[in-house]
Amino acid sequence: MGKWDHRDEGKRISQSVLQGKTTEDLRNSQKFIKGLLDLRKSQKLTKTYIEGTKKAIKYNGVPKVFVDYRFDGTATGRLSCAAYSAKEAMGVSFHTLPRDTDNNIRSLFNCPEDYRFVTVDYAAMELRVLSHIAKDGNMQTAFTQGADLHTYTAQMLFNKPEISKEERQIAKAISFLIAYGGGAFNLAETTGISVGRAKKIIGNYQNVYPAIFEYMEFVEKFIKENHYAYTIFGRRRNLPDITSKDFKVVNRAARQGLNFTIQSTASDILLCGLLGTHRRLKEEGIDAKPVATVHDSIELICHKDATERCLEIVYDELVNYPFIKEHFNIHFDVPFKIDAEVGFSFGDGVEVDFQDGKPQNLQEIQEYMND
Amino acid sequence: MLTIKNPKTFDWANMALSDCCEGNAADSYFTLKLFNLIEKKLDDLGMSRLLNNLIMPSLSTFSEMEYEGMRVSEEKLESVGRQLRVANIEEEDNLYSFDQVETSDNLSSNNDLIEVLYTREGAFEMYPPDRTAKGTPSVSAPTLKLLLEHIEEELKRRG
Repeated sequence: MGKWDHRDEGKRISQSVLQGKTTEDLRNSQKFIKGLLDLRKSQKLTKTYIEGTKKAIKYNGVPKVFVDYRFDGTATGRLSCAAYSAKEAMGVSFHTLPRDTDNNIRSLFNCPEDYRFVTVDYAAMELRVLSHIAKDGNMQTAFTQGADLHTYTAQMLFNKPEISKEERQIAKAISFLIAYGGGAFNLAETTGISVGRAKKIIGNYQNVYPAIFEYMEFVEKFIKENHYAYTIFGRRRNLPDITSKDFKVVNRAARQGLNFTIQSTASDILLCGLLGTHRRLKEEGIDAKPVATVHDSIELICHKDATERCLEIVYDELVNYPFIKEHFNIHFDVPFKIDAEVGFSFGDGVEVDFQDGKPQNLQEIQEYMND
Repeated sequence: MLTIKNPKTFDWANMALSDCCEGNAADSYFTLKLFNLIEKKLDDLGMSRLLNNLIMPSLSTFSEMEYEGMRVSEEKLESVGRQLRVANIEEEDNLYSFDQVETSDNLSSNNDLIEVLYTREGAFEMYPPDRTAKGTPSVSAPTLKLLLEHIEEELKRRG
């Protein structure tokens, strides 16, 4: 037999078998496997979301699904959300809703007549958090200047102003990999470059963003000495595995600790934004309310006449974060950015163009809603 | 609820209000007892601010969101469901049109897929990539994706 390749849960594929096939056979197999994977995906969508939602509606007696938000659902401190299950698992978890637009599952969740569905996302929040807590001047400059971080990183990494799509992709992959404790092998696998080239690029990355690596070293040292990691919000995660004799277990605990300091902080920033928004909407008597939060986004419904004010409040609470300043006295070194959409449902909408915290394209939104 | 022995099988929808109140009162009582025990520890760990300024205030926001729920468009549910059902049928028909697949094969059955992909003479004959703990070759999504990746690499190599 030929070379065996060990990847993905230890499964092995004999490449020599493939080399013995005709090109036509290989094309046929390729088509069949692609079709099979598509079928499974589409069957899963039907079962989980269509049948699950129907079951939930039938049980609830109203065309609504109810979910259960859990503070203790993840070790990282992020919120988890489960379908509300009384007698059996039913409904959907918003955290696993696919984003595909072909069969737009998100479009099932809508707003009443005369209301708007507003979706607000933080842009690149985890990397903004990392640049703040690691105090990396270069990365902070990119965010402060409003540059596209991955293009900026690629320009610094490859030392040239014009960047190809592939180079930007590599820069994006490396930023996330480094932040979550990945190495040259992961980068090579994700981007399809050689391990040697990946090592060289990581070396360059270290020169571009030195403080990120210093921060990673600091976190690892702290965890080894104290057996826990903590965030600027005061959340902590115990990491007893750091004392293991198995170096793989120790490395995993260190990675988990690093992830925790970033993910949990990003999650708490969003939570503060959600609370601030909810409080302000109530105080001002605006006919709008949050209806869900999914990962780094907030979903609201608001009356069509309250759209402008609702967007202004959401912008202020998420971008200028008065709630965090008031309750935690934290001032971030980098600006926050949000992407917002207004539409009929969770799965459609017009992107909001904000200038100085005010939506500029209300007319466009109005026309979209009238169509 | 402390008083419910098996929450998964309990008929929550028809629970008596008095039982519900009693259960919630017991929950609250014991939660308070626990809080009294851990309050100092939270202070010592520097976590009180997180609890008081973020976790506790968020409870009312989340309870309102949970109570409100998410509205579902039944019309959209039907149309997207129909769209998916049609896609499933078309995809299945497409898979059965391959010469290597027999009409008696059940594409949802792992055993049948193992035959079609790996072991049956005259089918795809990709041969088992490896045996799983149960002794049978795998047709799991990661294995199929890996197989696909290798086929594509081989096709690319051949130009």
